[in-house]
Amino acid sequence: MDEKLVSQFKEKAQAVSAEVIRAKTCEEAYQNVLDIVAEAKVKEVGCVASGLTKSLLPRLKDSNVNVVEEGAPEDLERLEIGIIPVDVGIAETGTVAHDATNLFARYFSMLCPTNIVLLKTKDIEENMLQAIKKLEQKGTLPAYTAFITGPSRTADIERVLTIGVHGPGRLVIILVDEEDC
Amino acid sequence: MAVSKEFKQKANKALNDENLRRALTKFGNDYPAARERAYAGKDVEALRDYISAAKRKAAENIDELVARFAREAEKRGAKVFYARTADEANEYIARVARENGVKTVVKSKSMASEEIHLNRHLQEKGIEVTETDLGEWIIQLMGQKPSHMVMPAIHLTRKEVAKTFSKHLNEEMPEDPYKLTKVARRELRKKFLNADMGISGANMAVAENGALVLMTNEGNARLTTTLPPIHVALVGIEKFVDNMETVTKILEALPRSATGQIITSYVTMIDGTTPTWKDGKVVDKDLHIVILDNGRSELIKDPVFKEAAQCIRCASCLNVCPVYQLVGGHVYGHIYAGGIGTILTAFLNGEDEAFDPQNLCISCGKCATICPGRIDIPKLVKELRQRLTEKKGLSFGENFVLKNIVSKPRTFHKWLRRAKTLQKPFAEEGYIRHLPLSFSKYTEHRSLPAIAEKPLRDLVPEVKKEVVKPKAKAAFYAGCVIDFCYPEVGTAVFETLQDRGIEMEFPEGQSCCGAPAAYMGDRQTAREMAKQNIEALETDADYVVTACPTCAHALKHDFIELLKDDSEWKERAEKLAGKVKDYSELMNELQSEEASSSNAGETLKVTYHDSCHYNRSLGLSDKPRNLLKQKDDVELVEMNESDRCCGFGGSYTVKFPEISAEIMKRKIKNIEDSGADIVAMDCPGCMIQLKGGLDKAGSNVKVMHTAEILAGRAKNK
Repeated sequence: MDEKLVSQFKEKAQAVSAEVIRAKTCEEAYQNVLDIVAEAKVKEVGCVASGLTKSLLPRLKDSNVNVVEEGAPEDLERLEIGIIPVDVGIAETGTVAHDATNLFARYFSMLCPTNIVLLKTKDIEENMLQAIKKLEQKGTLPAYTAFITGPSRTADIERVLTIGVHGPGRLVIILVDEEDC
Repeated sequence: MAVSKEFKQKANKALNDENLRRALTKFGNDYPAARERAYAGKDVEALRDYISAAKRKAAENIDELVARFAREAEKRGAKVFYARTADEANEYIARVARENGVKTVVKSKSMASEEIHLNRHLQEKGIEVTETDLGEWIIQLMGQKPSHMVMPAIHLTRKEVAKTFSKHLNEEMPEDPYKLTKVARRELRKKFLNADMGISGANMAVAENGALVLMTNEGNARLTTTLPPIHVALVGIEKFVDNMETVTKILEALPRSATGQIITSYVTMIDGTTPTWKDGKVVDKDLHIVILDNGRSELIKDPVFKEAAQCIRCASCLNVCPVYQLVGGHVYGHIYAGGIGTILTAFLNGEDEAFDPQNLCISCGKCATICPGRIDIPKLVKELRQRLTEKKGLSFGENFVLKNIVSKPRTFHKWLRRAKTLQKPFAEEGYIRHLPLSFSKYTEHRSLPAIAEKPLRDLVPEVKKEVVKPKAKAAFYAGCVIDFCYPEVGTAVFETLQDRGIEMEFPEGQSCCGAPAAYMGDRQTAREMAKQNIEALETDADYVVTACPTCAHALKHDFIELLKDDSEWKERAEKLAGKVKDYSELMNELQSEEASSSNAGETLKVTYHDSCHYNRSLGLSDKPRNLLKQKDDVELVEMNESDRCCGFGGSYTVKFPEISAEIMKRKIKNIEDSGADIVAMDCPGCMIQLKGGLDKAGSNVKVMHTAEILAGRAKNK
C-alpha cells in the first residue's frame, strides 16, 4: 500500500466534499457503516451484496436494519442510504470507480441522498489510465462504468455551488486496509 | 458586406444588460486563476500537443473511426444509425419513439440536439421532452437558448429563476439557489422515473471499443442513461477518438479548461447495452446511437477549417474572450457561441448565419493560447471572413476606401495630407476630441489622433544622420499610423538606432501593409499592397525594421501566404520576410554604448502594455521590458492583466465602437491602478486607442512607444 497515494486520494476526495473514513479491518469498516446508519436514524438501507459488502448484510440485519437488495426504482429512491462496493480509487482526483453494470448497484449509488462506498485501500491507483486498465481486466470495459468524484453538484444558478442536485448530496468513502474480506 | 444594423443593435443591447455583465465579469475574473490551479503540476503544453495531434489524426481517419466504432458498439448490442443531416437524425429518433409508444422523454445536456432542434421535432409529434440539466431546464422553461456551451444559464439571476419556477409550478419560490436546486431535484426526479426514453449527447465516442463517455456534475446523465428503458445517444462525428488513452487525456483537459475543476463529479462510460427496469423486471436496455454529420464532414475535409475538429467543447475560448465577456452567448445567434461557435455555425447551420457574428472577433488571439486542441481560432475566423467577403463582397464604403484610396499610395497619402487640413476645426493638441453628427460615436469614448503636421517621410531628412562605420544598415518600414499620426515614434526609432550604430533609411515607395484589407476580408487588395511594399523594400539594407507588430506580421508572414500561388512573388516575399526585424528586438541585440544619463536619481514609473499582436504573434514581450529595465531613469511596474486586449482591433473600433470602448475601460483601469506615470507599448494601434481613451478620461498617464522612452523623451512629456 502506497501511503502517499492514500493520503493524496483522501485529500483530493475531501477537497470535493466527499467524506473519507479509513478502517484497518473489514470489521471496523462494517462498524463505520452501522454508525452512519444509526446516526441517520434510518431503519432501512439499499445494499448490493457482492465483494466487500457481502459480509456487511448479516451485520446490518443483526442491528435490525432492513436491507433492500433490489426493486423498482420508484421504491428504491425512497431509501435514505445506498451502500455499494467500488472497484478502484484514483489518487490524482479523489475519484472512486466501479463496474456499474449491475442495475441495483447503480440505483443505490444514484438515487439515494446518501451514498456509502467501500473501497479496498490497496485498490487506489495513481491516475485515470491505470484505473481504466484495472476495470478492463475482462479484456474490455464493463458495459456501464461509473467514475464518482464527490457528491452531485451544480453551479447553474448564479454559479453558486450547490451540492446534491440529481445524485447524492453526501458521499462517504470507507477505505478498508484489510485485504481479505 | 457590412455588419447588419440589427446585429449591432442586438450586441449593444447585450452590452447594456447589467445582470449578464455581472455574471460574465465575475466568471471571467475568477476563471484564469481557477484554471491555473486545476492544471497545477500538469504539463499543459504537452497535454495540448497530445490532444491536438490525437484529434487531428481522428479527423483525418474519421470514416474508419466511425465504422470501427459502429462495429464494436453493435457487437455489444447497440443499434447504430448514421444521420447525414439534422432531418435524418430527428426522423430516426422520432421513429424509435413512435415504434415504442414513447410519450415522455428526459434529456441530459446535448448541444448537438440543440443544433438540430430535436426537442421541437419531438414535441410536434406530441411527445413531452424535459431537459434535466438544471441550467438547461431553466432555459427550457423560459423558452430560451443556452448562452454558454458548458454553463447554459450563466446569463440568468436567481430572481429570474425563482420567477420562472414560481410560474411553472404555481407556487411561490424563494430566491435562493440552494432551495431552487432542491425544487428542481424534486420535480425532475418525477420526470426521470416516468420517462419512456432518455436522450443524451456524449463527450466522446471511442472507436476501439464502441464506448460512449459522458461527463456531468449533477448526475443527470447517469439517471438519463439508467432509468428509462430506451437510451438514445446523439453524437457528432467530431467527438470520435481512437482509443481509451486519448479519452484519459481529454478527461484531464476538459473539466480543467471548462470550469477549473480537475474532474467532473461523474464520468460515465457506456459500452453496449446494459440492464434496465421495465414492467417489473430487469431486461436489456434498448440502446440507439445516432451518429450525426450535419455539415461536420465538410468541415473536417476542408484544408483550413479541419482544425476546428480539434475542439473538445470545453468553451475555455469563451471564458477568456474579452468580447464574449461583454456580450454573452446569445448575440452569436445560433447555438454555438464565441469565435469557435461562428466557425461551427458556418458549417453546421450555414454561412449566412455566421456572417454577422464572425465580426465580433477582435483578433486578440488570447483563446488560441489556451485552447486544449490548439485551434488558432482567430486565424479561422479571419479565413471565414475572407471567404465570405470573396462571396458577398465588401460594403460600398469599405470597397471604395480600400480599392481607391488605401491601395493607391499616392492617392492615400494625398488624402491624408488633405485630411490634415480638413481636421483643423476639430484638432487640438494632437487629438480630435469631438466629431459632429453621426460621427460623434467615434469620439464618444476616446479622442481620435489628429493627422500630424508633418508625416515622418517629410521629417526623415532632418533626423537622418551619417553613421560612422555602421554596424548594419536598416530600412525603416513605418506603417501608416507612425508615418502620419505619430511621426515622433519614427524619429525616435531613427535617433536611437543611429546612436547604436545603425545606418537608417526610409524607402519612399512604402505604403500601407494591407493588414486592414486582410482583416476586413479583402484578400485581393491585400495582395496588391504586398507587392507594392515588396518592391519598395528591396534595397541593400541588412534589416527592414518595423515598430508596429501588425505591419511586422504582414511583412513576415502574410505577404508569403497571400502570394503563395505565384512562385516569383512568393520568393521575393520570403526574402523580405527574412530581413524583417522588430525595433525592440533589434535594440536588444545592440549593445548600448551611451553611459546611462541618470538625472539626479529622478525616475519615472513606467508600466508596460502587451499589445496582442506584439505579444502573441511576434512573441517578443520580454524585449521592450529588458530595454526599459536597463534605463536608469525608468522604474518598470507591472499592471494587472498586462496581456489583455486594449479594444482597438483596427476597423473593430468602427464596427463596434461601444464594445471596443468597454474593453478599453478595463485596460485603462488596470493602467491607472498600476500607479505609473507612463504606459509603454510597441504598437501604434494600441497607442491610438489608449492615447484617445486616457485623454478622454482626463488621465495624467502618458502613452508612449518604447522607442520614445529610449530616445529620452519621457522627461519632456
